Amino acid sequence: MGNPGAGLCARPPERGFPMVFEQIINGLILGSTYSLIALGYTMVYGILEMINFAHGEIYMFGAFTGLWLTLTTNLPFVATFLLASLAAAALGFVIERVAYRPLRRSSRITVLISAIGVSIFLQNLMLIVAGPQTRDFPAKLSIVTWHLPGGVAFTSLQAYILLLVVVLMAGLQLLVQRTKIGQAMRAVAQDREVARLMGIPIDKVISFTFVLGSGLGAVAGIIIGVYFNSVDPLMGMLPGLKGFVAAVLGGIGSIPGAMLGGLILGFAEVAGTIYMSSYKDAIAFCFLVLILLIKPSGILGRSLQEKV
Amino acid sequence: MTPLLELKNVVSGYGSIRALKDVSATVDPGEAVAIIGSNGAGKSTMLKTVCGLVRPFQGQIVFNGKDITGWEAERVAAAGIALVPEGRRVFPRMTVLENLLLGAYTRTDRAAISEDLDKMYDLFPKLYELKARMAGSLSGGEQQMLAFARALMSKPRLLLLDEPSMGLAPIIVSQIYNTIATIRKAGVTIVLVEQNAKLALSAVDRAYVMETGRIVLEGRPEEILQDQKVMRAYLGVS
Ligand SMILES: Nc1ncnc2c1ncn2[C@@H]1O[C@H](COP(=O)(O)OP(=O)(O)OP(=O)(O)O)[C@@H](O)[C@H]1O
Ligand SMILES: [Mg+2]
Repeated sequence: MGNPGAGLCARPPERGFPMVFEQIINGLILGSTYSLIALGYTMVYGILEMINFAHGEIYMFGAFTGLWLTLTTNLPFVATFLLASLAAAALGFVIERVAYRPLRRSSRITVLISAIGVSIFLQNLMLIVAGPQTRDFPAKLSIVTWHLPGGVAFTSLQAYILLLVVVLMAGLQLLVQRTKIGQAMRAVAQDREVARLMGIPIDKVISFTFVLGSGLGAVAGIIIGVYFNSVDPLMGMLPGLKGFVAAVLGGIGSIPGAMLGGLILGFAEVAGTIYMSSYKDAIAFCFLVLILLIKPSGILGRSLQEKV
Repeated sequence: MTPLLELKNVVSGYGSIRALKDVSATVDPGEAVAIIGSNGAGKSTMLKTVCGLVRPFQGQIVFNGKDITGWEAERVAAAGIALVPEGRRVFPRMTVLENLLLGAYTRTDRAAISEDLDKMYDLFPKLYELKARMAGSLSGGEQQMLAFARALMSKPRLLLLDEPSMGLAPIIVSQIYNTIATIRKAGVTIVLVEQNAKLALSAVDRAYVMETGRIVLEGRPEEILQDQKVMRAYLGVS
């Protein structure tokens, strides 16, 4: 299979077990990218109680930087991947410094407007720099397809993606639970004032959270760019919203919730693609409405009173 | 003796609200000082201003010979001031042990930290039993012990206590006050804020009485207890 982007819809619908298997893999891949995006929203929300609506553009920026490095350098793909994620992490750092930190004492709506402004700015900047057309992402990867018994096909790209996501999630969990900076992040999320009394430099913790969330968002952008072989300046809008829905679904502020919410959404969408493909994108928003009606705190979230 | 802490004509508050209006006070090294006064007098604001959680509008705060006016809270903490906040404020979704280690956040002397951890478990044996429990699931008294121990884990020169008896059963309160006595003997300088004046006065060398953002009286506990007017007017004692 020469084309690494032969992903979801490109394949002829097969029947029976191979199709089910393939859809499970697709659900996992799509879901885990939503999880990666949702983690950025949920960590920032946990610490600042704000929704970083420019997060989808960081995802887009990651994908574009990856593409640009692929086209202009001879770096191996792993290095491209790493550099693009770091660049997006740096962008997240700068956005927080420039657009959010000066508004730390302002009302929530002011910060929200600033975030939407950053989002529109980045979309348009990329429209000017890269043009509006959708581009291929010719990743320098040699992709092997394994044909398993029963007519099931599985590519090395899919294996890499799933492995990477598992490693990142486990790493994040370790970081948050076991390291000093992780402890500091949790302390700031639980009681910012007392965290300062402990001597925790909260500005640094906030910056670190943006860097981490942005890096993960960029990883999702590169994965989707390569997997669907498609990158464009507005590619962050819908996944950005869906990542947000995944975060709310899992319980905003909860890291395991973001992971779970993304997977649920990914599987629901893949199921939706089979049965009613034109309404695929509506599924996320039906979830949003439902969860807000039934359990606004999300599946793993704490109720709002408890959150204090 | 040069004071460990000195407030000079401090004006402080929230936005346009002035909760401290020209407060001057001193605390000597090794001393225990109480701040008493009724609801809303500005006691908590005074402690928060010292810790850097609230920025003073005017005046000067000197700690250990350094002018710390306007310092960020994290810097003040690293300089050796710890606060046990009103309402305890333990990190509810972290274990007792994690809470204690966060108290030592600014320290890097690992061996000494684990030594101090053992000392805390000696001082509060209950915390040792509870070390793997989520702090939010502890009783009020246990949380207060944890808040004390967490503050002590930073090895503070100056410990600020904001209403440590609030909402606790009398038996727990007397345990807490025994602990305060122990901490004092260890040489930690203490500022104790209470609404319960008699209780606070029993535990300190000296006290300030606050009313609506000002200090109206300063003296030794027995002097303040004898001031019938003060006891009646500000402290609700008939
Ligand atoms: N975060 C805040 N924002 C605005 N005003 C505040 C804030 N905290 C306290 N105040 C006001 O400042 C004044 C002093 O409050 P402070 O909490 O220092 O009093 P206190 O002596 O500690 O009272 P208490 O014994 O009830 O704890 C009060 O009028 C209070 O309403
Ligand atoms: Mg108070």
